[in-house]
Amino acid sequence: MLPQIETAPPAGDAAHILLVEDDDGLRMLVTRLLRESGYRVTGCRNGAEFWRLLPAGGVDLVLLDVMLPGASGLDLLRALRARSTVPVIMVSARNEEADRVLGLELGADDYVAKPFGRPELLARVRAVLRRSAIAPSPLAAPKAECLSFSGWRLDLRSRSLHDPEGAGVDLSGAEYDLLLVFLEHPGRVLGREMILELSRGRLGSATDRSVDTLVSRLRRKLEPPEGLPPVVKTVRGAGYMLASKVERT
Amino acid sequence: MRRLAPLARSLEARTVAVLLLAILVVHGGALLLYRQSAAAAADDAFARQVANQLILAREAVLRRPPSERDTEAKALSSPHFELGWSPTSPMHQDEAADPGLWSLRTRMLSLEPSLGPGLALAMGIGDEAVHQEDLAGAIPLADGSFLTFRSAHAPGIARLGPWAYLSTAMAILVGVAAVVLMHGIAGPLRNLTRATGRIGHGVVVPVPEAGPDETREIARALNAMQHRIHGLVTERTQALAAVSHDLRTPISRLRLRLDGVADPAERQAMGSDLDDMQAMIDSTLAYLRGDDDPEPRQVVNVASILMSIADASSDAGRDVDYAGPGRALATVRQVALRRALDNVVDNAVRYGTRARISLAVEAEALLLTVEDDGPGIASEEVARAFEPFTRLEASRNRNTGGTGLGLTIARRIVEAEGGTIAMANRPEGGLQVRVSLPRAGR
Repeated sequence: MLPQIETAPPAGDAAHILLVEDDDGLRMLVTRLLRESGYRVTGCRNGAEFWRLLPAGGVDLVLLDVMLPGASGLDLLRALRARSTVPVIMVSARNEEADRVLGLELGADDYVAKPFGRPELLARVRAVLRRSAIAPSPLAAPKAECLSFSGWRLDLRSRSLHDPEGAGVDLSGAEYDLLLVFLEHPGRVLGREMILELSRGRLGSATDRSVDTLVSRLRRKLEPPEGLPPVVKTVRGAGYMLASKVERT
Repeated sequence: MRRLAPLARSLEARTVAVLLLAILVVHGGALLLYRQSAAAAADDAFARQVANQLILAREAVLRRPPSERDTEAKALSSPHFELGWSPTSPMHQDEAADPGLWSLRTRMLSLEPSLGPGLALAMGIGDEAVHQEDLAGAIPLADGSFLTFRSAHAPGIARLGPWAYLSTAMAILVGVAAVVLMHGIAGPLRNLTRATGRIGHGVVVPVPEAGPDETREIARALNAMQHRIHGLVTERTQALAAVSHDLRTPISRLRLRLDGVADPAERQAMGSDLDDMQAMIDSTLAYLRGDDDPEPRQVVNVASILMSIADASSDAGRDVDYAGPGRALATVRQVALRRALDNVVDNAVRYGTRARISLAVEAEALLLTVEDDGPGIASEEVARAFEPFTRLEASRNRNTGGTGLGLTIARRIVEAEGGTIAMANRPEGGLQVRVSLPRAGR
């Protein structure tokens, strides 16, 4: 894991991360960790400081703690989303499903539960920065909330998958990320390296073999109810393909 | 008799018994008193009647010459009151002294003093059995002869009139009404008992404040007590939850500081200690959350949850596999059920070396089975295994960690979803946990 950190972007065009965290020790540690990985980091303790620092501009990502003294992180997020689309990762000690969904519904790009480790935090930060670099989401076009394919429905806010008959299907984090890669490239044959590349930062330390395992696990979860064709096809010698149309709603 | 025993212990039955006994005594006493006073009144009337007739007969007889006196007396007789005349006393001295008749004689003399002290009375003169109850007597006349009489009616016999039956019927009716009313009065007490039985399972049970003042007071006191206890428990729970939440920040700090530890083995060991701490906090919070889980229920493919659990366990290097259909639906809280099944599988691999998860779709239910190859547990400890903070160290004595809350949480979640969870030792060794969930749409 340590070698990955060495490959961090150089300081010149380093992304600027605004960290809102009231715990001094944690703020210091996260700041150090992100700086070591080559990011520019500004730390602040609460909402008031946050609003003072934000207009200074050049913020590429906000790491926002949910439990803050005074206005909570969710309040800050709501206020922030009213004026800006800057990517936000919520950090919370409350690892509750409802909190996670609420954070994502309010427009957070990702959610990290305490206690987190260095690799997890860095992977999330990289993934969110990368996504915003590829497709900077303008204010006018709201992000898709749901992806539908062959009757299946993936809710991007709650990260939940429902089969064509409406039954909820349990997905692991890696399976979700993999499915998202397929859904972002429907009808394209994706090789293992391609999948790893496209999901970089999200599938973590995946290898070729683990991609195969992951795809087979995902397919088992995507087993069509009765007599319907499989959603993810194997293209011999080339990789995998999502064989259905994807609709954004 | 065996069925009467609990009745004898019941407050209501005892009160009713006392009430009925009181009615019975009062009614019996009333009948007895009436009988006494009726007898006295009858005695009085009889004495008056006999005295009157004797006075009238004496005057009529004395007006006749002695030869016609007997005939005259006979003519004055009625079927119930025979009169006669005798020149000599028809009664022996000992007969006239019948002590049972003294009060009658005194009464007659006090009513008609002119009958004179020579009045003699006797019971049952004559040999015939029919006349044993008759009253016979004689009074001396002025010329030394005697006027005799015999009354068919003996005094002192008062019959129970129809009103006595009426009063008995009334007593019975009052008794029945009392029993019914007592049952009604005891009703709030019974409701109170029933409501009290529901107290203490986590939620505040409103006890109905109804009925007589005493039960109303008890209900009010119970409700107040419940709110106090609930407040106390909530306060403690919130404090514990707050501490648990707050612990996550220092654990985060430790996790980040871990990178500064040079020795990789040491780093890994510390990392796994932090994992344990995190798992304990998570399960404590899940336990404290109790029954108010806001997650909505939805139709869920339970098989997909079991697959995820088996996959995640395999990735963590544990021997867990799932065998069963790819699709089995139940209406549940998905995240909660995942936690419950996670705990069951975790318990299996914690004590055994491997876990086998299987799923069978039955007519009404999904039957999930998790089997391990661990030491199992003593059959008398099976019931205790689901209690909070229980560690069955006797048979599963190993440094296994955990909070002792996993199975408690699992049972609460499964039962909240309308299912059941049970465990049993497998004949071939190891433990089997069976979870049954109602199928969706049934």
